[in-house]
Amino acid sequence: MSTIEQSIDMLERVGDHANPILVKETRQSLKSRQFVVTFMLLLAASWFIFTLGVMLGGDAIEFGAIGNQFFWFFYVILAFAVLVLVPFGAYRSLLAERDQTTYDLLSITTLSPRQIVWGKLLSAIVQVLIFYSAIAPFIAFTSLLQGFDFVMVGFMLVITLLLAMLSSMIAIASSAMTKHRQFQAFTSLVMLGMLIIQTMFLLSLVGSFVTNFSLVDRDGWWALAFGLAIAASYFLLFQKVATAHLTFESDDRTSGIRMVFSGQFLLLWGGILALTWLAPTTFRLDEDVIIPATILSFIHWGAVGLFAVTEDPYLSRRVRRNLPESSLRRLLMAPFLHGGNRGYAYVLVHLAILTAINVATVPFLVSSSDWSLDVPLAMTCYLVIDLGIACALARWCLGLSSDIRAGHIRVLTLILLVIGCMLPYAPMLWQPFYGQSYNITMLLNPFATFFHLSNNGSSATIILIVLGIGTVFALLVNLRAMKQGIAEVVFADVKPRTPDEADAGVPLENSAGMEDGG
Amino acid sequence: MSETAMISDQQSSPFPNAPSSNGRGEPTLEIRNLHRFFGKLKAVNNVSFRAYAGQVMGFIGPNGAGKTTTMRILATLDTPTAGDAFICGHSVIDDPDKVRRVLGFMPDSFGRYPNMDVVEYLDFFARAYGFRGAARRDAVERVMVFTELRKLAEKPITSLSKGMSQRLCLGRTLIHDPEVLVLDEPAAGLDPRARVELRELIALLASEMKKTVLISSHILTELGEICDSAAIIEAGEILAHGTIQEIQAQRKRRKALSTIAGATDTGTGEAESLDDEAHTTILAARVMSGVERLERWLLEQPYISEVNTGPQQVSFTFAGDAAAQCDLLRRIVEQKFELLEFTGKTQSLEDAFMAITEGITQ
Ligand SMILES: Nc1ncnc2c1ncn2[C@@H]1O[C@H](COP(=O)(O)OP(=O)(O)O)[C@@H](O)[C@H]1O
Ligand SMILES: [Mg+2]
Repeated sequence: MSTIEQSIDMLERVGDHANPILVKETRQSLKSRQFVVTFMLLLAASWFIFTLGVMLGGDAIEFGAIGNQFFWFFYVILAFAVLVLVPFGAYRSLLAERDQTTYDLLSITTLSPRQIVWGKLLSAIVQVLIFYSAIAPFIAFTSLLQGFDFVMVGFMLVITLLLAMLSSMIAIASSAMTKHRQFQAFTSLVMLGMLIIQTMFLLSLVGSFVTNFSLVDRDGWWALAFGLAIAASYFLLFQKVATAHLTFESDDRTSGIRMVFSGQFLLLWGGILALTWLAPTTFRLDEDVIIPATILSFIHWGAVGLFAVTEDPYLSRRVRRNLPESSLRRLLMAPFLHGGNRGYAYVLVHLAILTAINVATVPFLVSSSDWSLDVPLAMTCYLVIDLGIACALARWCLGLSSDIRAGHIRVLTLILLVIGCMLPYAPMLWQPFYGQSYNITMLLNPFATFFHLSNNGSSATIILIVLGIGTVFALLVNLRAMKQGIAEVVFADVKPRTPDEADAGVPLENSAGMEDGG
Repeated sequence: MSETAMISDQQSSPFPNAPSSNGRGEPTLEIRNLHRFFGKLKAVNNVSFRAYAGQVMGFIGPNGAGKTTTMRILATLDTPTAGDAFICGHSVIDDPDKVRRVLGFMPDSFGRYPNMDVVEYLDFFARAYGFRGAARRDAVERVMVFTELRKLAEKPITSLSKGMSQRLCLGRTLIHDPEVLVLDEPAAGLDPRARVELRELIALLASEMKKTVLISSHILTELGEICDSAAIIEAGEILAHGTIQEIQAQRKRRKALSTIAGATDTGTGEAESLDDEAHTTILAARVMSGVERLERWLLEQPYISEVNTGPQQVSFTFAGDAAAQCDLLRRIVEQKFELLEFTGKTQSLEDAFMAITEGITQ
């Protein structure tokens, strides 16, 4: 066998185990006019800059340290290609599958949703690498100039590749979520606009990072590692979201996403602890770190919670059938499984962890002049109450009609929150100076209460007692449902269904949809 | 393929509660009390039927009847509001992954990728179904031979004719050698030649390869010749299902009270009438005049039901055997009706369909 035959044979074998979508799309893009045109345009733009630079540069080419400036021009073009065009292509590519109804064909093969998502992502990465190779000769040229920093250029190219992967994954998740065809032209435009804005932002970020970053700065590296870990967590999150949207309805589409949200929360606090330990000169466990991280955590759980607690409680047979044997593992898994009741338990667990962290850290803050434990405690109470209301609303309303969806409950909860925020200020209509000082009705407005408490406002104890009572009430209202939701998982005993069990007499499993018929 | 199956089916247990298996073993496709509602619209409303290996089952109904919705549920592209369906014993709700391995679904749209040729298209789906190396090449080869697409292997799929596209679609559906094929309006828009070729392929799949084929259409003539059985759906509900004979039998039973029949008025009626269905024919007599008199007279004769009149023509369902039919013709002549023509045909799928759906606004 000749070497050529051998290498073809090897390629075949590699290709055999490569992601089918990657193979398909690479083949397609090599034949695609659009891709070839983009590639040529990129080359042409680079040539243009090159000739222009050489013409205008004059003597500086030989004597000035303009390598980096030159590189920046090429970099901007490259960034536009890999941070705008590639993610946009990934976004369009999944939409096109839906449009051409090839998505249906794809989803009934034995390809898993994760393989589909990764196939699309890998195709995007291959395109990024092809664009890199197009620009490589020009970068090689600039490297001959003075003032060219090899390490920095390599570093930027790697970071850019990672950013392109993240944007492509976000784009793929967005297209997986786009269900309504009629808005596609509009959402595509929005996507393109957002990618352009994001790229401009990233360019300035990379620029400032590169100018401020020093390779010998150890703390800088740790901060970078932390930033990358956060970015990676979002990459994972969007991968899970995309996968969930492509996953069959009766499968587990929730727990992966919930795990990532937990992971992000733990990453934030774990990262802070690690940084204070590893880079003590720059990071200290003081209020400048604790307060933003706490507020971020509350926003995180508020947003996640709003989605988690309003899900319909239905847990498919398929999920229940595939639970682990051990009751302990089921108990640990239960909060991560689909359903608003379990979602509420899931958020509560994390709020408890957050409270524990606050109780452990806040008293030791160096200058806790205007941040006492009152504030995070009040925040926790508000979240427990508001999410408890949302959870109960979802439980009561989702069963009423199939026209009511989780999204409606979410909007309703937000409207209730806004009304609660505005209500205490209603007397302002006839009393212009009302509301300048905090009074007890303003408990309805969490934000006013936070400001009041963080300014060491009066009657903090009473405020906390009232909020505490509300919290207990919210917990009690949802306690039974939560218990049921968990018990449903722990004590599930489901066998595969055979045709004989599915007879007319057997109660219909997915009854949520039946109710609108009756 | 169908002759023996049809005959054995006539001794089936009473329809529709327990459709027979007749030694065909377990049904490979079984739909149980399937419902799919879109808001208030009941697109599929309590649909149940079965099909067996080697059977080509027509799924017939007018546009908007719920055929595609049902088939998408079978293909695990949608989930039912209630009920379940089983492919080779696997639930489409609980085990969609197992169902996908044994089911080939051909949607009513092509599913074209740009910048791709025939062999790449098949190769992609072979990969997507997990075929590797030689197995993959074999699968692609097998399909190209079966669908006779070999000579078009390098052609871009966007340049294929409608008939060739449809072959390629069928090929893609067959790439993982599924037990059960669900084809949504495969003959729609094909020219007569392509339609005949498609029909031959489908017949081959059922008879030689013992596949179960469920094939939908709103045009009856497309299906009449390839199906040995049918399920007739209208506004989300199954009106009849089974072999063509079973469908007629069901219709008979429904109308038993209102028919004026000679053969079924005795105590042995049930067994006899089942036997008679083998001979059910639609007969038509064309006369110069006296349509009403002929109609009245026919209604008094044995074995006759559902007499319809037109200008110069009377048609009716006749449940007697050849001797009885011969006797009837002799007596019509004796009665001095001004007979121009007397024709008969075995009831076709189309007739059954028209009879079943009669009176229902479409
Ligand atoms: N996704 C959907 N949303 C709302 N209504 C639908 C949807 N899919 C189908 N329908 C409706 O369900 C009915 C049955 O449609 P379909 O199964 O496509 O009929 P057929 O294939 O028999 O022509 C139609 O009235 C159609 O409008
Ligand atoms: Mg249809």
